[in-house]
Amino acid sequence: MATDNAAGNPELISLKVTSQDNEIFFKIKTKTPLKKLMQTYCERQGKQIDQVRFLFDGQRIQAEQTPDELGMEDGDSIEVMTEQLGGM
Amino acid sequence: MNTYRPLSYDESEILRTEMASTDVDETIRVIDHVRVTRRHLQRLRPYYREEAGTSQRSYYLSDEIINTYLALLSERAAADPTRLGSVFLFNSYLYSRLVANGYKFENVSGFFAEKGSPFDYEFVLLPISEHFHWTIFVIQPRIKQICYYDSLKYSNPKRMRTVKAYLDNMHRKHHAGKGIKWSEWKEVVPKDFPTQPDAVNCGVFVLSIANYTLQKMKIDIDLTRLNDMRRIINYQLIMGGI
Repeated sequence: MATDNAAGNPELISLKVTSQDNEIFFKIKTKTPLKKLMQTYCERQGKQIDQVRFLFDGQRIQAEQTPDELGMEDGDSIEVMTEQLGGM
Repeated sequence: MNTYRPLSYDESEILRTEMASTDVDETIRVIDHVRVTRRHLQRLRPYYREEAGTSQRSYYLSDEIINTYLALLSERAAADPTRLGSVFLFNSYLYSRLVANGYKFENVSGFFAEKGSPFDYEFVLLPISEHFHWTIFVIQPRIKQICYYDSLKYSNPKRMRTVKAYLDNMHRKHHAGKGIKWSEWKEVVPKDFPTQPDAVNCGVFVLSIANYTLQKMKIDIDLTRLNDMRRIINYQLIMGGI
């Protein structure tokens, strides 16, 4: 999958979104905010966007950030974590 | 200076006004790439035992609150380097990631790469959320000390082992392959502070313990003022500064 991009559109990269349950691949433009990917992921996985966190290299991604800004490359992974709560 | 002095009338009004709206998804502040929404801040409302009943969990602090408040503490330190030691902050996802599917440094070796070496800082914070309980490691590389704070005063050998293994790997990564000589380090599970008296406030303990510790102050939590502390932390997050 990751090699599709070599076909000639350098502005398109393939990203892997991994959670504890699965891995899903997305192809997105490097200048498009990741908001769209996050929303699509949640729709497909039946998750509420408020209850998942997207991380790249261990750090939080903000929906307005683009793959370019984050220095993402073709084949990179975004990790999904679920909301953490604590009281007792 | 009183770390959790009561809010003034004007501050209370700001807090009241900000929290009055029912638009729970409104972003009140963006801190360290996290949108802090009213929904998360509402978790900081005062907790009264007699009203607890069914939704005690709605008072539990979330990752958004813990990570952003610790980020504010790091920002405060960065802004006042003559008074406060520098802070390297790991987020609360790191530990969950370390223990998911067994510890393997390869899984996390690229994390926080651009932040450089944690060992170049005076304080390293590593908050943990597991089994609906917040705890925190405070590591001081210069004096070679690793402290694990649990508001319920339990030791946790597994967490201590896991965090030490991770720190050792990070040290090798950033310092020419050299591991940590743990025999020179002090490992502490401090007990000289009040014990959490309820089943909701561990997050408040974690945040205030970090606050006191980064100022090298005694952990001076007044158990009669936990609700005040919730309101003050809420106010500080609204203002985006401590």
